[in-house]
Formats: sequence, structure tokens, C-alpha cells
Amino acid sequence: MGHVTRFFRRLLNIMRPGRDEAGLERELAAHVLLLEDEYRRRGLSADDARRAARLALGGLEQTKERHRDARTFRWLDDVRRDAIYAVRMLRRHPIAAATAALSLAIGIGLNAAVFSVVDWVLLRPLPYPASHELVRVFTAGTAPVTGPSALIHDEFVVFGQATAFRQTAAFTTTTRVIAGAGIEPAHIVVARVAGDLFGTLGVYPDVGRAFNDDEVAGRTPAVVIGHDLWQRRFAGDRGIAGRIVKIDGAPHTIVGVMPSSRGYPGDADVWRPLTPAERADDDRELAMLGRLRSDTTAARASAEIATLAQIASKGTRTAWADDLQRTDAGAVSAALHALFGAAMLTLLMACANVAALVGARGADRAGEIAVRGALGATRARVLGQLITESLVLAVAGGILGLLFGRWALSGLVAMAPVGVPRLAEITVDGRIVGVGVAATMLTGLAVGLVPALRLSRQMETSTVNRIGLYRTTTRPTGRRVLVLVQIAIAVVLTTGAGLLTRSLQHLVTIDHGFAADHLLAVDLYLRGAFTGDARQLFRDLVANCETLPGVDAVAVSMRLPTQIPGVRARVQLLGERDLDSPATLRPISPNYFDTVGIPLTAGRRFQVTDNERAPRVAIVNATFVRDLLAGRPPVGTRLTTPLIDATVSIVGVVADVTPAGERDRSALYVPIDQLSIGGGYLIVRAQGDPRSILPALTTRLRAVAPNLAVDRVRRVADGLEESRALARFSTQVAATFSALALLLAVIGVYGLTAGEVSARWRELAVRLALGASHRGILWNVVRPCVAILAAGAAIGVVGAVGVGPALASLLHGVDPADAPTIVAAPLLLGAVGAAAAVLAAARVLRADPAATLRGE
Amino acid sequence: MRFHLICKWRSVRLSTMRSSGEPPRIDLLPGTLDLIVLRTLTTMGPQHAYGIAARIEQIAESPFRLNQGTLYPALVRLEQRGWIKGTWQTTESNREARYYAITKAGTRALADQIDRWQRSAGLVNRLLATESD
Repeated sequence: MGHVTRFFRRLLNIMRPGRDEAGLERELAAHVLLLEDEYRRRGLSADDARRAARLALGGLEQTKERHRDARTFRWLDDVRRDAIYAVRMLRRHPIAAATAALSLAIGIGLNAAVFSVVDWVLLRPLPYPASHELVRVFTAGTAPVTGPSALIHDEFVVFGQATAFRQTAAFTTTTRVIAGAGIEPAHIVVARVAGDLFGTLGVYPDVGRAFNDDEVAGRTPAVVIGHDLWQRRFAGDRGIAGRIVKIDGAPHTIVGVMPSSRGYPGDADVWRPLTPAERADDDRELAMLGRLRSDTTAARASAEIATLAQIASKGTRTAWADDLQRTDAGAVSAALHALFGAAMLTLLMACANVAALVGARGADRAGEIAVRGALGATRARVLGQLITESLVLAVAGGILGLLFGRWALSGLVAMAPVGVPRLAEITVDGRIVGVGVAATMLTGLAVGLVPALRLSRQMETSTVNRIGLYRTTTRPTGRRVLVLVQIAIAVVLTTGAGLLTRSLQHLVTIDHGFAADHLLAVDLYLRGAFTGDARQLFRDLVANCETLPGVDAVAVSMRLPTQIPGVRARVQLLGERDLDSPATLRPISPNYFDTVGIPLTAGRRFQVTDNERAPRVAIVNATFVRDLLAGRPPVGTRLTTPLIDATVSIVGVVADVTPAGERDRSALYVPIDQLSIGGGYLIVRAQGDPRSILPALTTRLRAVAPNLAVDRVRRVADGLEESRALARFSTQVAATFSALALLLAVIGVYGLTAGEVSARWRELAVRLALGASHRGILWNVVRPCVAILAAGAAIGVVGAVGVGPALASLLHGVDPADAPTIVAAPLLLGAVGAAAAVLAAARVLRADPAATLRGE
Repeated sequence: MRFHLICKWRSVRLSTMRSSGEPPRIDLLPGTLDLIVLRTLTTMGPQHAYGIAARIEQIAESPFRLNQGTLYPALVRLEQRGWIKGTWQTTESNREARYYAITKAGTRALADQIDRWQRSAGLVNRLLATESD
């Protein structure tokens, strides 16, 4: 008990140093007086008694020190004292201190922000028990070779027999419409599941239950719903189990609700077992998950299912398993690694800056250190003091950095493309703050240790009598190397940012082949919601929406102009054999080309008269003419295709669509009146901002077709953005990083030049006094900096060329060794750096040399 | 028989005056100074640091001279543990001094310390007795 009390009293004494000091002084004085009394009583003279008394006590100062040692924790007290001293030192050089702290704040903040994203997306285990056992299974053709693809149900059954798997499941997602009593029809993502998905993941509904055998077999239609849908549409009703909802018009019973953020895949709103009919079709659409036995690895599972795949496919297919988390991160992972690399480089630059600043001040402090040494400070003590100063700086930078990091993180998350998994979960928590604190401390040590070691070594060799007469004249080689490294890093970052910018530029200036601005698309999904004549419904919708104020044109199409793939059909020219490759069928309403903005290059558009009773007509695109017609005149050519019941005449030719640069396929546009469709998009061209007509449009659509789900309305341009989102994100972040890197490099160069000028000031003053020209002196000072800039830039270029290939997957239409970028980045750095050097040198040279010489 | 009980950790040194030739050093076991101070305060009542030092020198019987400053860490330690309490008073010679008195917690701690000391000293003594046979 007493020991605990003592511990806290000692700790308390650190907070209030000197509080007991007066009492101690008084007590010792009293003690000495009592001793003196005693010695005088023994017959000593007053002087002798005083001396003897002090001797008996064992020295006043030593006793005080012993008292302090016992009273507080000495080392902690030293740290406190050093910290206070450090703060005082920093306040004496506010600009240098602020520069250093801000540099560190930038470095630490960026790292904290980027680390948060990397941590959540790549490092933190998925929120499932033993998530490292979870793998995703892929298959691919070996003869002929095809890319990784999803599975058919038979393959899932075969692979599921692999002994490496404890449990397997597969799913495929589609968009459907949910409706029911009291629920407005809405689009939802339905995951259709084979096997026990919940069991494989180890996560079960937390309201209600998982599927029973009857439901799994598909005899009773049942669904489990996601937490978000439950909150959004059912107000979090805990008694929801047993409620009936209609999905595509068919009744399903809700049996459970998944816990928040635990459903897989993340975008699914509803899970239901595959029906027997769905199992029987051989659509290659199943994503397979497996849980490995704890004693095996993904590699062994891969070997096993590869064999199974080969046997089952008679040698034409293979299969493999890969870590689920890595698979999910996919393309984002490359971008995040690049980001993290850039953040680390930025922190390194910040460290270099601070180390340079600390080192530069070190030269001024050699005298102070020598005095401390002469007064009995040990090297360890001085080292501790110097490192404490760096740590104080780092802590200041770290606090600023974490604030900046929170802000930077919200920016990162806001900019991040939708494909990044677990984005919604990302928060700054104890783990991230912990890493930030560790980074701060490491940074403090990194920047403080080397200069501190050097200074404290000087302490052993330096002589006190030199203090004030000479400054240390060691050449600032270390500092120059630091600045050199900084420049090289900045060139690498700037080159990377330049490449990404050019890539984005390329993506932005792409000709999509149609005018995406002002276009809105409304998902029209008729199954289960509408049973009448779809053709009439589409005509009604178009007619009703065209008259809305602010609407330019309206059309219906089965696919969006951003969607190149679609229904493919064989085509046979009349009187000839089948064409070599199939064409994509694109059913559209008559005014589609005008609405979307695809130019007609020959023939005519569709007309209202091209209806179901009229002769069948089609319009082809340029690729069709080039690849399939082989020089025949398109207009007037007649063909047949299995999906259309009569001979089709080509009446026109339109240009290709190239959304986000994707190549068009040969396409056959046909009127929706002649090829009936069960759903598609209502495409609306607005006169102004498409968002402004949204409310009126929704109301009008509801009035015309109350059963239709019209909640899914999007800008067609957003679809184009999705393909660019990753590029845009990487570019924005890289540009930010390179701007900061540039700033840090400029600070570095400025600091270096200013430091060298002040170190050589005496010599320069003499030269000026003897008549050297300012211009000559300026060049003399700036020249080494220019040499460093040139060398750093050269190393940076080599580094950038080396790093380039790592960026290749993020670049579109730009070579990683893009010459203009690789030339421009070092030139920019060089120019800005040289300007900083001249500025720093000129500022010092403005002082009067005579005054300096007189002052010495 | 001469022996050294050497303790490097916070040892307190009783030493003879330099003038008496070969200095026989006796390093106290850690914590024994606490015991000595507490015991002195129970037998003599409240005492100032000088009084305690004088008492220890008197008890030591040989011409030992305590380095009196070494008492202070022990006093701080004991006071921080709440075993003694210091107050300012005047001496008979009309000087002011800080008098330390043992507290109730201190009395309990002393009993505990005496018990522990006797057990360990007893063990060492028995050990030495059997070895000298």
C-alpha cells in the first residue's frame, strides 16, 4: 500500500518541481546549524565547526541530489526538463521550428490517412471468423486459353468435392425489383446462392434464421435481407421474419436479416437459394467461395481443383483458388500500394528536411554542448537531451499530422472510386492512432539520432576554449546528401503524378461517340410489374416525358450507350452463308440516335411507321459495315437473324460508340416495335442540368406506370466516370503528393543554401569588403546547390524510369516512359529549386558586410 | 571473521573517519536503514534528522561516522509511504528543525520489517554457525 502511495507521490513531484525544494533547503540549513552547535560545544572554532558540519553531512549539494532522486523519478524529471528546454529552444527559432513541424505534419498526416485506407482495404482481416481460410475460386479455359471467369453450377459441385475445402458456396448477383404491401417498388441487388454461403463465411442472420433444407432445395421461396435494406425499407422491424415480399412479382418469405456490414458480397440487398431451374442452366456466372481446412493452403487447394477441373472438362479448363481479401481488393490494391509508397516517400522527405534543420542548428550549438560536457554532463545525458528535442518536434508534428490526417482521410474516402471494398467501414480508430504515434516517435528518433550522435561525439573532442571564436567548419556533406535524396524523391513523385495526369487527360478527352452530357437513364424493369403490351407502355412513357419542361428528347433502349456488350446473334446475309462473327442486337425506340447524339452517316433513321406490322428494318454501325459487309453497300442489304422473325433490310448506318475509349462491336440497331424487350432504359436528354428535371420526371413516370420501380435514375456520364474513377483518384492523390513533395524539396534547398551562406558569412563578408561583386558571390554560393539539384534530378529520372512499370496498370494511353513527362518533371524541380537557392542566398547577401566585420 | 554484505542497489555506507587508517566498510542491506530509522523513532519519540544520525552513531559503539546526508533519501521514502510524518518544531537549544514522528502505518510496517529482518538474519546466523563448525 505504502509503495503505491509513494509511486504516485513521486510521479506527482514531477508535475510540481521545486515545490519541496524550499523545505529541503530549510531542513538542511537547520541540520547544519545543529551540527555546528555540537562541534562548537566540543570546542572547535566557529569556522572549523562550520567546515566539520558540512563534512559530516556529506556535502549540501550531494544531499540535495540524493533527496531529489528519492523524491521523484530522476529520468522522468530529466525528460520533463529537457522537453521544457527543447520547447524554449524551438521558440527561439520559430520559423525553423514551424517549418520542421509542418514538414513532419504533412509527412505523418499523409501516412496516417493512406495507412487507414490501406489498413482497412488490404491489411485488416475481413469481418468473418478465421477469414484467412476464405478463398475465391476461379476457372479459365486452357484450350483455347481464356481469362479468369466465373463458374457454372456443375463445376461448383465438382470443385466442392476437393478435400482442401471444409465448406464451399457460390453466388451470382442480379438486379431485381422488390415490391409488396407498403413498400414502394425498388431495385435491389439479389444474390442467388448455391451451397451454404452463411456457413462458409461463418456469419449468420442476427434477426430470424438462415435457410432451412426446404428453402435451400428451392421448394419454398425464401430470402434473407441485408441490414441496410432492413433499415431503409422496413424501419428495422425486428419482427420481420415471416413477412412476404414480392421479388419480380413472385412472393418470397423473409426469414432473416444479416448483421450490418457482414453480408457477402457487400452490395447484395437480398440473398436467396438458387432454384432448381437456375442450377440446371449452364450460365457461367457463379462466384465460388471456399473455406479451407485449417491444415491446408490455397496453393494446395489450387492444385487439387486444377486436377478436378481438368478431369471434368477433359483437359480444356483449369481452376485455382486465391485469397478472398486479395481478390476483392483487385485493381485497387495496385493503386493503394502506389499511394502508400508515395506517402512513405513524402514522410522520408519530411524527415530529411527536419534532420537537415536539426543538423544545421547543431553547428551553432557545438559551444553549448561543449560547456555542458565541461560541467560534467555525460554523453548519454547530452544525447538524451538532443533526442528529446527531436521528439518534441516530432510530437508537435505528429499532433498536427493526425489532425491533418483525419482531414486528408475524409478527402481520400470522398475521392475514392466505388470499387474500393469496405470504404464505408474506414474510420480512424485506436489502431490507426497507435500507428501514427509510433510513426511519430520513430520519425523523431530518425531525425534526431544522427545529428545527436555527431554532436555528442564532438563533445568528447571539442575544446571549450574554442567556443565563440570559431564555428565548426565541417563541410555540410550530410546535409547535401539529404537534399540530393529529397530532390530525387520529388522528381520520382512528380514524374508519377505527371504520368497519371496525362493518362487522365487522355481519358477525359476521349470521344465517346455520343454526347453523354445532359443524359439521364431510368432503369425500366418490367418483369413482375407489368403484364400488358410493353411496346405501348414505352410509347406512353416517351410521349409523356417529352412534354415535360426542361426535357429535350426521350428514347427507350435495351442497353445504355455506355454498354458495349449485349445480346449477340448470328447474322446471315440474304443468299449467302452465315457471317463469320455474330452481331450485337440493340433494340431502340425511333428517336434514340437523336436523343443520345449518335450521328447518322448514311440512309435514314427509324420512323414511327417501322412498327410490328411494317417490314423489318435495321440500322448498322460503322464496325458492322467494316467487319461484316466487306465492301457491300450497307443500305439496302437484306439479312436474317434468328431473333427476328422476317427478313431485315438495312436502312441506315450510324457511327460507332466508344464509351471511355472502349472499342465498339459490330451492332445491329433494330426498332423495339419489331423486337420486343422485357426491360431497358428510358433515356432522357435534359436541356440543362439533368438533375433539375429529376423530381418532375419521377412524378410523371409514377403517374404513367404506378407499378414500375423508377427509383434507379442515373446520369449516363456517371457510368463513364466509373471507368475513370480509379484513374481520377490516383491522379488527384498523386498530384497532391507531388505538390507536397515539391514544397518539401523547395524548403530543403532553401534551408541548405541559407545554412551554407550563414556558415560562410564571415568569409563572404571579407570577399565583399575586398570588392567581390554580389553577382559573383551569389553564383559562388548557389553553384553547389545547382550541382546538387542536377545530380538529384538525374538520380530521380533514373528512379522514375525504374518505378514507371509499377504504375503501368494505372495508366491509360500513356507509356510509363513517356518522354515529355520524364523531361518536364526534373526541369520543373530544377527551376523551382534554383529559384529557392537564389532567393535564400540573396536574402542573406542583402546584409551589410562592413557591419558584420566590425561586429567580430 | 570479516565479511562483506555488498549491495549495489541504493546501499548506504557507514564508514570510519579517514584518519583511522584501514577503513572497515560496512554496507547496509537495502531497506535496513528504513528499519533503523523507524526503530529509532519508536524508541526515542519524534526526532529531527540530526538527532536520528546522532542516535545511530551512538548505537554503533565504534568510531563510525555516518555520512548524515544519506539519511535524507530514507526519510523521503518513508514519508512518501506514509510511515513517518514531518513537522517543524523548535529544539531545546531554540533552533528550528523538522521533527519526524512514526505514524500508525509506520508502526505496523516496523513490526513487519522487524519480523522479516529477524527471519533473514536468523537464517544467515544459523548458516554461519553450521559452517564455522
